[in-house]
Amino acid sequence: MAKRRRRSKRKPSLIFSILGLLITLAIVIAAFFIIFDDVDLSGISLPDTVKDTIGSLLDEPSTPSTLVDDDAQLYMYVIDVGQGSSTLFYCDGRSVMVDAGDNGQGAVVATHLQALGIDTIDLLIATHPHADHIGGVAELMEAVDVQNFIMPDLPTSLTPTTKTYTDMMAVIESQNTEVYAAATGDVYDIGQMQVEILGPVRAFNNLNDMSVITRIVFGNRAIVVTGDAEEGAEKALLSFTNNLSADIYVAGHHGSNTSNSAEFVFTISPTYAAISAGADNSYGHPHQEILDLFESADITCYRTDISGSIMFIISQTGITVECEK
Amino acid sequence: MIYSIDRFEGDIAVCEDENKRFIHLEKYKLTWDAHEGDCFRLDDGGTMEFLPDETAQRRERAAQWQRKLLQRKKPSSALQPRRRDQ
Repeated sequence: MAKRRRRSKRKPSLIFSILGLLITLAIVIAAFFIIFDDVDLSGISLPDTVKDTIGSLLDEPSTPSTLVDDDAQLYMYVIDVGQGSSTLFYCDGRSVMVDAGDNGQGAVVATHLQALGIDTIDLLIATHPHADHIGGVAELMEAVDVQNFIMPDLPTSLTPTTKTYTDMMAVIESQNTEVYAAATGDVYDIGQMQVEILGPVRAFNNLNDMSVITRIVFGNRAIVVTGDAEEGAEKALLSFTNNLSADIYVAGHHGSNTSNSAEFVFTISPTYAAISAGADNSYGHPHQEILDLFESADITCYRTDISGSIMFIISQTGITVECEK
Repeated sequence: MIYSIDRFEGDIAVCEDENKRFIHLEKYKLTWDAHEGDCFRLDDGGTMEFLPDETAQRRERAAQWQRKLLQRKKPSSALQPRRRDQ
């Protein structure tokens, strides 16, 4: 015969009874204020514990942020690497970097990291193997430990023939860094950051469109970085998912008009855009129509060619921006 | 000197030499139907010659290297991605 466990019956203590009463009272009052939402709490005398409970019940609902501490801050740096791109995300001792600038800029990026006391990058994403995005990788990896590396899995027909590319692979190989092919739909958890790989959603016949597109999620905040993905890749991504919303958008292809299509930007609907471009660059980046688009969409735009490195301090309650100049 | 076309920026071909120095060439001046990754010889007199064999060899070598890196066995402690909900 199966044994039955005896459950001990205890009388609830007076404290628990009072606590239960207070919570019930709080819920009833909260329901009252939800129904009559213009009623002011300030004139009513209630115990602080009850007020706190009501306050939390009346707070605006937000996206669940179970992975993020309430007081955590994500530091995002759009590093001034001239005509190129390098973006660093740093939170609570963990770091993610997207691209490392052009040849000769790896030392600039490394110096930036060292100034922040960062000697290890948890995850480095090379969006696509054009020199202005990967040229600095080899030099950076000589100075900083890179533990994991994501790159697009390219067909032979698109594989670069440059020394920049082979130098990068040589350093990765010599350092036993773990290498991952970008796979759309993968999510990497790096501390309190979630790195979503959104693209490329299919094979394209040019390297820009093969850019790894990432969305960094930090609780109820998000940042989208598209490398040099052009309009075709943006449209393909829109047909694949509309879950692209972000607070900050690192403008595609240095603010070129080959990227940043209106529908794509409106879908992301960022508060801020950051453009990484070199002062007086030969390509006319960023293009005026993209600046006009951001302005018409009420997106506050920062540019490295004007402001130098840009720092966003991101928390669950707000975003502040500081520029180098 | 042998160059490789790193990328096109509008009408400009951004080309890298074997010492990772870069030059800009107007795309229309390339004497063949040029693509990114194409290798070519450019002499001091400005004569340009597309090198299809050099291009193919470099591509294949780099592609093999890339495959080798991507297929390298990872330790059990390596990052494990999960799948995103659409």
